[in-house]
Amino acid sequence: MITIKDEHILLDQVYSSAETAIIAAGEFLVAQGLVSPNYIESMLARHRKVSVYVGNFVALPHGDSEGQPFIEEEAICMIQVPDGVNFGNDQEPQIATILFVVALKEKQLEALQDIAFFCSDIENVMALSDAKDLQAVRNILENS
Amino acid sequence: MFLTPRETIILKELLLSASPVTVERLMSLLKVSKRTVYRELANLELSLESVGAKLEKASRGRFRLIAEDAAKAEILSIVSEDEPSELSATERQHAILLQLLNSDEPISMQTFLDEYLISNTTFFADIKQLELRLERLPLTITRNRGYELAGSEKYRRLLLANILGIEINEYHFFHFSELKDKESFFLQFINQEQLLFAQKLVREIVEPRFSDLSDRKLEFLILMLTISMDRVPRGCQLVEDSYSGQINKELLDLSKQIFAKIAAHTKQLYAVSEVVFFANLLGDFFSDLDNDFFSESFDPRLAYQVKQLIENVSRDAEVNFFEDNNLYKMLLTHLSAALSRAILNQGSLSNPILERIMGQYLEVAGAIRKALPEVFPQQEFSEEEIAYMVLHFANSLERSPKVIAVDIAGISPSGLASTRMLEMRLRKHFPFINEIVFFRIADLGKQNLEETFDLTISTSLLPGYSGKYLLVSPLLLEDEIKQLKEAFRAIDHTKRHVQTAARPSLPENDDYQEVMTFIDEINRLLKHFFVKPLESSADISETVALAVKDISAEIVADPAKVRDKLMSRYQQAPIGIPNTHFALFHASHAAVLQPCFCVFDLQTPLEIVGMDKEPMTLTRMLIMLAPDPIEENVAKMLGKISGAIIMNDLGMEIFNSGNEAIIYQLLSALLIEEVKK
Repeated sequence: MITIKDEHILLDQVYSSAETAIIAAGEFLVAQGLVSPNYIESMLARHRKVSVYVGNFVALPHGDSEGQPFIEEEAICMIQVPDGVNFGNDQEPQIATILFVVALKEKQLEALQDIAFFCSDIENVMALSDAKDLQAVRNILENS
Repeated sequence: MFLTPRETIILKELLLSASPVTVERLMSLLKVSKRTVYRELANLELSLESVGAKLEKASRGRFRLIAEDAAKAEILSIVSEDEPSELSATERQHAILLQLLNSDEPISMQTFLDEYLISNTTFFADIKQLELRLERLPLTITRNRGYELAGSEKYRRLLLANILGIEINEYHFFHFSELKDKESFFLQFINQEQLLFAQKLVREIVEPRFSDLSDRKLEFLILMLTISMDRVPRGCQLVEDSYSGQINKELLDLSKQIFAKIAAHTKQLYAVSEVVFFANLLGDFFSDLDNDFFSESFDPRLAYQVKQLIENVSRDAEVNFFEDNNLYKMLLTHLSAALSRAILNQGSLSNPILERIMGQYLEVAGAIRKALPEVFPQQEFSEEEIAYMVLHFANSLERSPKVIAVDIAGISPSGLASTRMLEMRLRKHFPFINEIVFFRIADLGKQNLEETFDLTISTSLLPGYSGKYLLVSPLLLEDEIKQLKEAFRAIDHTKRHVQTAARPSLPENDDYQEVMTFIDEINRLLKHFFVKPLESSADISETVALAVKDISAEIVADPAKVRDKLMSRYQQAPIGIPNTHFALFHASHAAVLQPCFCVFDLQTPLEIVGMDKEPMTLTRMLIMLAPDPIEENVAKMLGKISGAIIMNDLGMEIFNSGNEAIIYQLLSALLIEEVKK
């Protein structure tokens, strides 16, 4: 099961590009006291290396190994972007409507893979994208 | 063991051939006289002795190789070693293409020249040839300080798997861990450790669920996983959301199980698209009309084209293939997979077995070649694809003594293991066998076998036994299968004469309760069946609404929702049956309380588009509704009905013009038949 605290869920966000989305996601982690600001750079670096878009309208922004020391408290956050944000380019758009933002020291890979499995059922992603409130999100994640 | 080039050629043919090899075949292969062939065979016998293998005369002028698995592997390795290291032109082109497909960076021309010892003219010719073959795929060879391949990751992988599948011999593929290095040139293009892991996964997770996967399909799935394991860590991600259709949850779960293992093994993140893509590949292999008819991904146009293909081939080859529902399903599955796979244009066949089939069924092959451009005008098919279609039709021909249930008495003095083996082989070749009972020779004479059984077979000679019997070996050799086929045909005739009525008894082994529930469900469906006129409107949506409103509230809880679902299916793909005046409107929805099939005759004809995309006049509307989710029995019943509508000309005509009583007759016959299965 993917466990996310209520205060780590952001609904109804709007971003103009993948980079701004990742920076905003990083700033959210910082504001929650989960990471120090340097973590954001490692998130961007990871995305530049290989896109964090994983298909089915989902992106998984997370830091690379360099970012590990900047994690203060392990957590997974979720950001809903109902209008979507393009992680691809104009010719081949890759629209993400759900971002799972991951800051874990151990078991990071396993957690990411679990989220990917959960999202391979497009119905789960659609339900998360349509969720109107925290209760709805909680109900969906409980089934993960 | 030292082998002359001629011996090598003979051995290869013996190894590759599924049936004994004729002297004539060897004469044409070696381009020598019969006498020389016999001399070479005698020499070969001597060479084979040293590895504990031998030649066996299967019948006059036909030979086969007898060797234990280990010896076979050794021979295979010697034969491949002896092969001159030079590749054929096609193999070289495939190797170049594989290198391009695998590489992340441009490769210089010099690399290729050194590697394959070819001149630059030959290399340019190879590239040109490859470009021609890539024409229909979203992949291009680019020249920019070396050669590079650009384009879709999905097609890159499909093509990699396709070529490796063509070039790696199945035996090598499944037994490569037992072989020594360098025995298969093309195995070098794949990471063998990963290949072994993928093999294990497919065997452990996919095979238990789908036990009848062919070698080729197994190989394809294993290759796709291996390629995924190789490419994802290199940052080559599949990101295309190429499949918009819904996927089967069960297949998605299988795919998740597999990737969970892969992720743990390779310490790498596999994106959603990887998991979904593999689940879709599984889906391509296992689509099945009965269960898929209501799924959103069922393609009525393809179903119609397949029917058309069968019809044209039947007409041309003067064989009635219509009634073989199995053929229809096989072709549908095969074509839907073929149309979604990346296939390299292949000039000629590289598989000797397919080649033989093409030669053996010339007429069917000719009919298929003629029918394909008529039915699929936009599609080109490789020689291999055509050969596989011939194979499906040929299977149908061979199966032809169908629908009768045959009971067999087997007599075997040997133990349980060999009778089990024989039974397994018999059932595999003759699926219509109802019962096989084995008797010991000691028991003979206690009962009259000919009275109780349709056919008696024995694995040993029975001197003194007066009854008729067929002698077969537990291995069930090819000519024995032929004899059995003929025997079965003869039974077919007598049975049809003697008992015209089908066996009334229900299957004994089946749970009685289960059968009764099914019969109840059928009766309920038949009870609600009707044909009636409808004061229809000139607007299709209104007409559908009127029809749905007319159906009992016992069946439809919310007419508006059901109308919407019917209309959305209607808009999604044409449903009019070509050359008739009817269309099948179908939907499954939670607002449907019980399954229903009914017919409305429209007072105002409507103009709609048929499955062949031609306009047609609609005067009769067939409506088929099912609750959502759909139960297995319901899917079976409705699948059977829709199959009869599309597949069978007589059925189609009855649905087109039959009155209520006639259609009722057909429906009950169809459904009762389904119970008997």
